[in-house]
Formats: sequence, structure tokens, C-alpha cells
Amino acid sequence: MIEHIDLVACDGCNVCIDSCPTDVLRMVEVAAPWEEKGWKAVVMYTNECHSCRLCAIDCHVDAIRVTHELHIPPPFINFTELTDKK
Amino acid sequence: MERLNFDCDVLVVGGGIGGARAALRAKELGSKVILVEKAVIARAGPMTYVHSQFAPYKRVEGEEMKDWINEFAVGANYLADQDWVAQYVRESYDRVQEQIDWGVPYSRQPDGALKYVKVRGHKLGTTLGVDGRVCMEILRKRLKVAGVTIIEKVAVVDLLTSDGKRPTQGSISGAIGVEVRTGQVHVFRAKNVILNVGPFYPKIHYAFADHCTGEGHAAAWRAGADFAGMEFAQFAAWSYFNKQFFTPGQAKIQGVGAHFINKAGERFMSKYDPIWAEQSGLFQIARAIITENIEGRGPCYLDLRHVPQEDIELLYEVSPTVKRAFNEFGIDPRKDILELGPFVVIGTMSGSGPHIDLNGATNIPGLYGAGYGTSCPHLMSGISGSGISSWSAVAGYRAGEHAAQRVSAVDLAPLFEDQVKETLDWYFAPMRKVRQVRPSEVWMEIGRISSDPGFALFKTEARIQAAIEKFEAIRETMIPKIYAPDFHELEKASEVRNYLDMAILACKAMVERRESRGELFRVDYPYMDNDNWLKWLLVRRGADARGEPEFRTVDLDYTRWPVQPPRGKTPSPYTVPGRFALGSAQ
Repeated sequence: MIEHIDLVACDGCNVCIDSCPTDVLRMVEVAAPWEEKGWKAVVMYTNECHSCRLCAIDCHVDAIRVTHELHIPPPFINFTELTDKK
Repeated sequence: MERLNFDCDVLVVGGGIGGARAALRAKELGSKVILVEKAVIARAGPMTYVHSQFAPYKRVEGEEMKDWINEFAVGANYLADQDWVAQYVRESYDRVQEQIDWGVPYSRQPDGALKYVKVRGHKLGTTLGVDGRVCMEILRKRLKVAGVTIIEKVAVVDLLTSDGKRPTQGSISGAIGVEVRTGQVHVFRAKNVILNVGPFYPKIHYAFADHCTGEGHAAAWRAGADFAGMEFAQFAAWSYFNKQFFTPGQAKIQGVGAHFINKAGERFMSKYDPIWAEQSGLFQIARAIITENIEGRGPCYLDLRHVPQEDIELLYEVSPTVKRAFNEFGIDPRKDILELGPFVVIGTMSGSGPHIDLNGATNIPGLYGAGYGTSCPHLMSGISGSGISSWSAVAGYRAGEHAAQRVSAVDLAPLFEDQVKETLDWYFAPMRKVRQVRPSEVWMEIGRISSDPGFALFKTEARIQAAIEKFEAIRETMIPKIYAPDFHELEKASEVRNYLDMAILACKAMVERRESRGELFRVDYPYMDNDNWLKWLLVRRGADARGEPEFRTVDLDYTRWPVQPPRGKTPSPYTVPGRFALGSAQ
């Protein structure tokens, strides 16, 4: 999932918004205390990111960091339960 | 908000490689074409994540074709439509060559010659490395230059029919779409609709799977299309590494000669698949790993330590995602082994969906299918990875051509406002609810049922029926309570409803096929039965209000085909632990 968007680096170009196949990013007008107000990309629907990295590849200022790590594990089968007790 | 109305000759739904090629072909033949996509072309669809395409290294003709057909027929457990296989082998060469002419950067040797690579499950077949994202960007530009109208961020929610009914006795006359962020309604009237259906998967956070949820499948189903191969709609994979992360690129990892080893360091795949061993299909490998675990020889590992450095470099080149993931978690494939986490979910591997003929046509006039989510008549439960993207291009080209030829013979059908209203009432219903059930909660519940080991791995009629009952209970209790606070979640609500319908259909089809073949393993019929089950299981929605599926089988005419199947019953290699044996409580 998207681990971090560097709001200082983000220049509000809007490209990542349309890069996302699951449409999880949005632009919001924000300001850090130390800088002027501007449009920045934020993750609106955190859980729906599937780590495809298209936003990070398209970002021209390298502001988006995506990890392959899964925070919500998919429905896996627990093998230890399956082993026949002898 | 005002409704937008569009008229066209050919409406292509879905902007993956199949849809793009279909739209281009129809446009080349002079049709007025609209291409509608729920995300953005070149940033959605499985093709975007593909790093290689099936590409025969030469144009296969004459006597040689039989050997190529054999490769697919064996891989598909003899259910392949061998006419389609021949067409696929012949035309995938043409489709790749034309992409090369368009400037798609396929991987090349230092001397400039194309660099063909071997892939899982093929002795003759080859693939070419390509960044699918770049390929789609080039196709997108071509679509624009050709004058295809592209409408993005609009999800097609249902098809329109010429008699205003679903299932229809007439033909397909258009589709209804809704903008995914604003909810603006788009009504398309079209002489032909090409559904470029992607696969359908549950949301399992697996790259490319999460936005393919069976929207096209469900629409075709409601309209009354014939479906085939639904009993094989099970997706398995093994690349959930170290209980930490996923990567796609499994075919390529197998392609460089990966070993699968158990706790004792033994390579076990040849026990389960004597022919293909470690080149076997995803489902076979996932099952084998699970069986090793059940018998107490797990956990199992992926071992690349013996692979020469230049092959690792090749793997990284054809599958950059693997490289990024390995780097992120500090894995050196020359030194480390990776613990494998296999899983099985209900979804298309390939070959489950609307049934299409050699021209991409379905049984409903005016409705065509392209893409990996059609019944892919050649790949049915096949073991050939990487076949999907070129398959979509071939099927898309065929469908585009045939649809364009049909344009002059038909007129635009009138619009039935009742049908439009009915669809929109259904689609927007979750927005009229107060807070009750979120789509994500339904996904969790579906995941819980489909990952039950008895159902996922050791199917019996009773266990499948029990799963169907649980799914139907969700459909009756949770689905009417789904609520969506915004248009984004509204689309997610539609996705989960469609997926659930298709999952139930898949389960019902699993009950009907009374044998084990390909992705379907049944404890009560633990053998592949070539005497009675060398046939396709076709299913169509019944005309009554409940829309119960009506099954029928189609015998395959092997007298016309070059590759003949062996007769008799072949036992399945999987062991069934005591508590999952036939007649046990689970």
C-alpha cells in the first residue's frame, strides 16, 4: 500500500490521481505551517490500494513511496490447522 | 445532473489490450466507435502489469501447427477448442508483429534481434519481454489518432437490450454507464457492444486483481449470455512470500528454473505433476505446496540459489516488480530461500466467462466478448502463463472486425426508458440507505467462506452446497443493506454485488461437473473422467424471476481436431487428509 506521500515534494500536478486503477487518491488544498497553501495528493481510500505502484512510477517528483508489504492479509488458509494430528 | 446520451456503431467496454485492439479494428473498418473504461486506459487492466507477452517466434503454418496445438490441448486437459488454438497461435504472431511496427519496445538482444524467452508450461511457445504499461500508452495514442471516442472514469453498470428485457430474446442495443466520481449517468445506444471482460477476482490486494471484479461478466449474465468454464473459476497463486508480501511474475520466476522445496529440502513437484514438474500451472503448484504442508513436510520454499546470476538479471529485466519487491525486503535470491504462501480463491484463472466463437461473438446478437475473462476457448484451465495478453489482442481484433461488418445490416434499437430506470434504481440503491453494511465488510465475509479449507481444497457436493447457502445468505441479508456514502463507494458496492453473483454461479457449476479436472478437484470424484466429461459445461440465466442457472453440456467434436485425448479415468495426485475425507463431518 501507499506508505507515504511527501507533501513538501508534491507539487499538485494531479497525474497520480488518474494513474490509480482503484481510484484511491484525491487532491486536497492543504498547507503545512511552514509553507503556502497548495494542492496536494492524499490517500482517501487507504484500504483499497493494491500496491501496483503506478502512481509512484508516474510521479515526476518521486513523492510517493509504496511498499509491497500487506497490512491486511488476504484470506489465506492456515496450514497448521490442516495437518492431521497423529 | 444532466444525463449524457451517445449513439455509436460499436461500443467497446473495457480499455485493456483486448478493448483497445477491438476499437482500433472496428475504427479501421469505418465504424463509429466509443471506448468506455472505468479507470484510465494504460493505467488499468491486467495488461498494464504484464511484463511479457506470448509471442510465437515465427508464423506457424501447416504440419507444425499440430505440435503447437498439442501443447495447449494437453495444458488445458483436452478441453481446448483446437480451432481457436490454431487461430490464436497463427494470429498472436501477427498481433505482436504489428505492435512492433507501432513502436512497442519489446526486449531485444544486444545485436537488435528480438529476445524470445521460454515460459512456464511451454516447450515450443515463447514470450517476448515488454512493459505492458508502455504498450498500452502506445495503443492509447493510436486510439486517439484513429478517432476513437474515449470515455474514462465511467463504469458500465449494465447492458441495454432491444426488447427491454433481461434476459433478452432480441439483441444487445447499448449500455448504461455511471461516472465513478460524480455519478453522472451515460446512456450509450450502440449497434454492437464488445465486452472486453477482464478476469473477476475478489479484492485480495493482489496487483491487478482488485479492480477486476466481474462487472462485465455480471452484465453479460443478466442479459442472457452463455457462460462456459465457470466450474474452473478458481484462482490460485503461491507468491505470497515470507508471510509479508506479494509479487506478480510467477511465470517468469518459474521460467528461469525455480525449485520448489519442502522443509527437508526435497524438490516435490515431480510427484504431483510428472510431465511439467516445476513448470506446472499455478493451481497445481499451490495445491502441491498445500498437500506437502498437510502431510507435515511444510513449510515450503522457493529456491533460486542454483540459478546463474545472468538468469536472475533476466528475471529482473522481464519482471521489474520482482526486483523491486526483493530489494525492498533485502532478499538476495542467490543466497536466500523464500517461504511460500499459496492460496485459492474464486476467480478466473483463465477460461471462465461468456462463451465466444471464433469471431468473438456470443449467443446474443450484437454482443461480443474479448479479453481474458471470456471463456478463452483455447486456454480453458490451461497451464500456459503469459498467454493472456496476446489472447486478448487476438480476440479483440476478431471481435472488432466482426462487429464492424455487422454494422450496416442493423439499425440502432429504440431506448426503453423503463430499463434505464430499473438499472439506475438498482445501481444507486446503496446511496439511499442509512449506515448499515460497507462493501469492504461483504468482501471480508466472502473471503472467510471461500478460504474455508474444506470448500477451497477438498470439495464435495455437500461442501459446495454449504458454501452456496452461505453466499446466498450474504446475498439476502447483507447485500440489501449495503450503503455507500459517496460515488466511489457506490462503485465498490456494485463490484461486490456482481462478484458475489459470479461466485455463486461458479459454485453451482462446480456441483455440475462430476469429475476432477484442471482447477477443479473433488473428493467425491477424484479422477479426470475422459469417458464422460470431455465436454464443456454451458450455463445461461433462466428466464424466470429468480434467474436460476440452466446448465447444459456440449460434446466436443474431436473428429475434426488433430490432437486426440486419451480415454479412461486418470486419478488425481492429491492426498485427502482424514478429516476432509468423504463422509467426514467437515
